[in-house]
Amino acid sequence: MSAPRTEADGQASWSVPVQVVRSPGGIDAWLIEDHSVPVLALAFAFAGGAALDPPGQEGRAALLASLLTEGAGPYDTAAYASLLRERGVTLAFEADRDGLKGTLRCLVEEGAFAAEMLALALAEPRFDQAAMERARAQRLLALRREAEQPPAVASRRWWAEAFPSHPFARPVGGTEPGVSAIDRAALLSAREAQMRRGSLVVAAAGAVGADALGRFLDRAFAASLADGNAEPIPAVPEPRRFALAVVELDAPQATGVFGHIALPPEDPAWEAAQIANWILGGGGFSSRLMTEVREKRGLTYGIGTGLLPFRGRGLVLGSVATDNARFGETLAVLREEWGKIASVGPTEEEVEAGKAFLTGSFPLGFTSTAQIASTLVGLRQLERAPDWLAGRIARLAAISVEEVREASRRLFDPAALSVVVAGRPTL
Amino acid sequence: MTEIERRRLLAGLPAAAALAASPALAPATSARPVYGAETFRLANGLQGVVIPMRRAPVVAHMVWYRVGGADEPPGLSGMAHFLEHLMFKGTPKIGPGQFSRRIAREGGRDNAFTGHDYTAYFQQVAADRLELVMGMEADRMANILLDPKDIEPERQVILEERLQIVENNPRSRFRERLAASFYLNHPYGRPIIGWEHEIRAIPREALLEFHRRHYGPGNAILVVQGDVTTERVARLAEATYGAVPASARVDRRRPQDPPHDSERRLVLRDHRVREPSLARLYPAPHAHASVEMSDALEVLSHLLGSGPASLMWKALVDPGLAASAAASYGGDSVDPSEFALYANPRPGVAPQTLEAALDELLARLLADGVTEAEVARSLREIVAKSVFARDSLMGGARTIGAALAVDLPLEYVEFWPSRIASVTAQQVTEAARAVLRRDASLTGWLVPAEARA
Repeated sequence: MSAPRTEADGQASWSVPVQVVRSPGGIDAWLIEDHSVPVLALAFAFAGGAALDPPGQEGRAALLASLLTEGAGPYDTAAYASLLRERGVTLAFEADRDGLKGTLRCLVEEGAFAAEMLALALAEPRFDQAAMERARAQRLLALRREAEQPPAVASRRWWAEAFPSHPFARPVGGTEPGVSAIDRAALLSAREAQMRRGSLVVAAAGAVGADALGRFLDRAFAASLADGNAEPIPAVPEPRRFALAVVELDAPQATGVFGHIALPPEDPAWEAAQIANWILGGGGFSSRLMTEVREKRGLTYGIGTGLLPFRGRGLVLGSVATDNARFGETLAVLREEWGKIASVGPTEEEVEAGKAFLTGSFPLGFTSTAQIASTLVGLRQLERAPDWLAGRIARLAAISVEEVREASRRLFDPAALSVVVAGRPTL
Repeated sequence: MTEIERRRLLAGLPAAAALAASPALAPATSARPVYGAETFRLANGLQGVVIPMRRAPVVAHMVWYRVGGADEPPGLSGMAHFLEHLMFKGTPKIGPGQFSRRIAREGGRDNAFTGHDYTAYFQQVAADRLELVMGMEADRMANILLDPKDIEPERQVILEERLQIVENNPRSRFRERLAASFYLNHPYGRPIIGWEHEIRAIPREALLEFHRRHYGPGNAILVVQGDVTTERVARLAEATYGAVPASARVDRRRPQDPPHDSERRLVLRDHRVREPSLARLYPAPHAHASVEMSDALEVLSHLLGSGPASLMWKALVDPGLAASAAASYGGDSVDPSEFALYANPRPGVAPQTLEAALDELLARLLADGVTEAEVARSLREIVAKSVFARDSLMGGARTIGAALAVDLPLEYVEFWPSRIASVTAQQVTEAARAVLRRDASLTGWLVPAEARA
């Protein structure tokens, strides 16, 4: 990746070769090796996350994630943090809806130290009483601040409406009663439930070869995790369609969250659907929604949509904010555009623009070590093949206008568009 | 060139300080430049900076104008930011709304941002599209249209932006009100996005005049980071920006604050808020006044408010008074700004209990001074982070652009880690005693509507 090139052959000769590494101890990882900076980044994920929070303990995975770096083995919170910071190691965990993610970044020369500190966090987190109370207070404060924010309020309600009988209905960050109910035993069972060798996926990027990465992986993971798999998450059902829901909130501007089911990431038309989404709402200032709602009418600072992939299930989800008095107009334009792209489909020019952006911007996703590792682990969570990236540009280039129109018809359904608004909108 | 020499003098002694780095830290802090940036200048005044980085065949291209919210005439707050939005509305060559579409069509991303001291525009594209984006950026530097039919919808967009980022968020409103109270006369007290009634009143003629006066090559800095050579960037810059007529560097003379000599309080009651927040602001010198003092304040801010080993953590978070605490300071501004402390009480802790504990900590710090061990730990933490500076496409361009746009020299950024590593405990103690003066401070509380503070 870092070999010298001339101006002329730059783009053509560039590629992202993914190595599949197996450590002596049997830990698998994907690796993109790149020696342009002496940095190693690791991203990993355990299947589970907030979906394993038991009813009444909403926020368990989120608290677990924050406490994994709050002291481990012989080190209390301050000692553990100082050791990492003084040697330039960053380590963080985060709970997602369906996974517990970790990221680590360090200088290559600190790799052995970083791996041992990670192993300690995985194997011997302390969950000291003081640290637990601190993390709980921080989480409660964050929840009370979220309740001040229309986008957070609208999003919570959308998931609750769309998945009434699935753990996805519950907020990743938890609820006040849920967070208040979590004790040390609950954290230990959260760890037990998901931090297992069989439910781990790992990816790495940076100035490290396969052998050195193998040693790192064994230091970090081989002896620090219990065997076996995470408790399974119930399959994600089709999101429920629902009529417009308004959450009354005293705010001058109303925020809408809207969406419905999408093709699953396993569908052969997934990438055509990505192009269709780019055209309607994913393409920033190039998208139809930004043009119609922001540029032409000045109704919002921003409107956008994205495709959310889960194993076996896709969603298309968007958001917009408009002052209360004009929110009805925003909603009318949104529904009209949603209907238009579903029935008429995109133009040839729009499809070409979408393909040109998605292929041309592909290398921009490979400019920082941490970003590369996170991209790789995301692909592993979706069970993509290791050559998925290498074939990405050719696959996108081969998609026809008709395929994108077909994907638009399958993707967008104005009758299914389910909207939550937080604020005091005039509708 | 005399100007650059003068700025070097003003900015102090980076090279000498670099060599004086503490031997214990030598491996991490040898006086090598962080980015290894190279510079050139065109005949029309445009300053160019190039940061070669060969990881992927892409570049980040930025143009920084030495103008921001603090340079607006009174009564027209938000104009620098308004103009930033309108720069995407076309020229005789590129139709309204087509700028970003064209960049996307070429596989690129683009955006812009406005600060109190600068306005910056950027694109991230394949290296072979660099000339194209330079041509487009040079075009709108010289030939903006500002069609009245594009201005009015965009004014609505900005009013929506203000609702979204300020009015809809009690914590942002609090920060806006704090700044407005803190600065006695300096325009840093005005919100960058502008006050609503002034956004509504900005006329087209004022926008055109603002563009004509500030958007010339002599007032701009070009920064390119990525898979390029300086020779190529200079050649392409000559072919694109080189065609823009020369312009002068604009002198920035803003109204300055008189000495702060009173202890003030601000209480913002908001019925949307359930948990209070505390802020404490002190006037602080900037790097132009003294790089040595500014570096010491940066270390002080880390030592006080960064991470679980910091003093505010130990005094406020550990004993259960605060859920979080932080300190903030940046010396890279055109005029002096502030040193700030923030803390959020744990649910159930009375605001006055937290504030008293903070004051006790500060009193102890000023009486006893900071310890060698605390400073050594802070220096190791700060310097350890700096090795990751090159691990992103645009990080270097952003850091260097922001420094040059406030008239600090390139060396200020390039030798920052080695300079910081030479800060002593005595310097930090002296900086704390000079700046953390209660009789010049503003204490702010954001509280639920029914509460008292």
